[in-house]
Amino acid sequence: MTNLMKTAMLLKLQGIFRDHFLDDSITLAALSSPEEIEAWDSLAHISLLTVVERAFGVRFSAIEMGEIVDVGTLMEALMRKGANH
Amino acid sequence: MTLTSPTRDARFWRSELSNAMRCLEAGDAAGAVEALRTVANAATPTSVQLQMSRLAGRIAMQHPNLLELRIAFCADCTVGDLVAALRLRLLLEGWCLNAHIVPIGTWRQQVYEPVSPLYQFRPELVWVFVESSALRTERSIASGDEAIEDVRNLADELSVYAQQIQNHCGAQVIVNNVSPPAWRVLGNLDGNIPGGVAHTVQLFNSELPRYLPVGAVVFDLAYLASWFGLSRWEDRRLWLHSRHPFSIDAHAEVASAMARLVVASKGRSRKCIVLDLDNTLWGGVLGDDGIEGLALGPNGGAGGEAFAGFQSWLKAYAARGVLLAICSKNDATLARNAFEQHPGMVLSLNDIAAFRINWHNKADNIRALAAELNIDLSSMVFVDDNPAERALVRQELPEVEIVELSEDPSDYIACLASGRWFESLTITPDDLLRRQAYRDNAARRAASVEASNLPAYLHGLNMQATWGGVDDSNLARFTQLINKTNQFHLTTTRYSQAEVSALQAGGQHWLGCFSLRDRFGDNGIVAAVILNFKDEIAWIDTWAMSCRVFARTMEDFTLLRLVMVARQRGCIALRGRFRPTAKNLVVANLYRDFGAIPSHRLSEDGVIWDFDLLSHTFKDSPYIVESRQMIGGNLKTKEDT
Repeated sequence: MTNLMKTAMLLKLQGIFRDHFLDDSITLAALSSPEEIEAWDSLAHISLLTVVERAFGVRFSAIEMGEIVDVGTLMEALMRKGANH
Repeated sequence: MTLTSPTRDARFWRSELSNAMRCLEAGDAAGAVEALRTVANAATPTSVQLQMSRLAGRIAMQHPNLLELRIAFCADCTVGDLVAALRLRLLLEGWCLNAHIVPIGTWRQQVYEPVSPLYQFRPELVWVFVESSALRTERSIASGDEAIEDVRNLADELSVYAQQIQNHCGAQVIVNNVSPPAWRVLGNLDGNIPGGVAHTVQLFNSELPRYLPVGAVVFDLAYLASWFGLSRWEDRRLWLHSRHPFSIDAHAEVASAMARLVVASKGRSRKCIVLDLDNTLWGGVLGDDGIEGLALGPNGGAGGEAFAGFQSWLKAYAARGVLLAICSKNDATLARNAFEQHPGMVLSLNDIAAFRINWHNKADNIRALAAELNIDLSSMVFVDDNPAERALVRQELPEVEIVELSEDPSDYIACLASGRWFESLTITPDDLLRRQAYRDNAARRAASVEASNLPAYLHGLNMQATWGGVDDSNLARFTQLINKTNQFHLTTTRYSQAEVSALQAGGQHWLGCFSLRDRFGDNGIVAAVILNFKDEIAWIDTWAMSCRVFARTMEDFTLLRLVMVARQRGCIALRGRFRPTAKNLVVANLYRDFGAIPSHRLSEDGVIWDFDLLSHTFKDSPYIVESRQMIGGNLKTKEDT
């Protein structure tokens, strides 16, 4: 995956996060973690992943749901699935 | 269920939600709720439902005029997302959910400890969320008897918890039943033989309501799961990852159904369906097509059968106590003839509690219907195929719920039922009599027009009242009257059936009910009173009376009986409170008009009025005869008249 594609994916995720958390000030970087995005707590985890699944047309496994801990691991999971940004 | 919805893209939803957010930022929380209401239906995508739930949390914190509702959740699974979705649904009904989720794995102990955090929260409602894994152990077919035993044990265990909760805090208890499995080891046989998981689930769901104590209610999760579709309902990943009981997609629908049941427990279900005629109850326009030209019944083809099917559905609502009223622009005589003469009519004139068939505008007519039936606009649902009429009523009478009818009459039943406006926790014998009672009222009104003056009218009614203490036979109706009445209700106190039972058992209170019959029929129990004895004072904690018997001196009859009860307990004063609400102004001056004196005791919570039982003279109703006292009443004397 080229850097350009990664950037595009990051931007798309940023839009999803902003919508989902009703917060237009969210700025994502590959290292962004739930600690940095206050609203991304354990309660919000599953609903956020559900929305990301729909937007990218993928389905995470139960194991991946546990492995995704920040934006970086989320992007890795998406790339493994060949998600189109 | 919304049957048709235009395809909407992300931009549409973003703009709808930003309307709500703008309102909120401008400090207009009520406007934000209205903006959310326009997008909150079952066709709204999950991602938007989730955003709305998040926004609902923010609105609830800022909204100044919401009623707080305290619900505790006892669950072995993750209900956080469900609670968020429920908060949205309750917000749309005007309630602010204050939720307490008992940590997973601890609720069984907490139920038994009288001072646990569960009870310290003082819940009005406790939701016991059973999860189907409690039953889904893998078994061989041979262990069928064991499965039956397990079902009974679980049902029994839950009934004990429900009883404990009722005893400790008097909250309304709701227990959900369990959803059937999407995938089945025994395939087709799974539901048919003991030992099959689907069979076990069916058995549990049919046993559970029989086991639960009086007053506890089952929430039918199994129905919702099958309605939603089991293959979309079950999501093993979420269960394995975080113990979510069902898919995220299913949450909005479950929350919406939960909210309706909660609203019903607060006595806020709708009571009346206002119906148009042309192309709503039958196909065609009566004035143009004539009675013979209407499409209705088997001779009217698929369309005619669809309208007849809708009428059957409405007739079943009427039979369970939902009032039907007609509001139509038509010739009144011709319309009545259509009811009586068209062979395809399922509804009869007797099924209809009130009519407004004329050429006036429908908003005025609906106001008139509300006045005639003596019910609130907020208890009415309007059904009309004409979008312009719907728009007018929505504009003029925002309290009235509007059914968005499909253009296809075969969808009418789904359009009306999907609102779940008529939920109730129980069905009492009085519900089944209600239609009769309102129709009798129409006859009474006719008589009141005939009678030249009020005393003659009241005498002519031949009213006979019966009264006494509450017992098991009338406990449900007594509780219902207290919780459903808004107008003649001096304190608007609300009690669950469990709380009522507790008061009755405590000995510190007298719970009385009054019923009234007249020459047109039996009104059943029409007044409910709770007296609380403190030292030598009898406090009227609650006094609610059905609007069906307003202005018939039933209040005089009732007050004198309260005096008798209080005197027999040795009280020297009878003390009542008027706690004003938007709806009970009809009784604002009740105590004053009876000659009570305002107490010098100041109260932030309404006005307090005193009757001196030693010196005050009370008048009985000159029109109502005391026929006999009910069994269960703890008074036998009649000396005080």
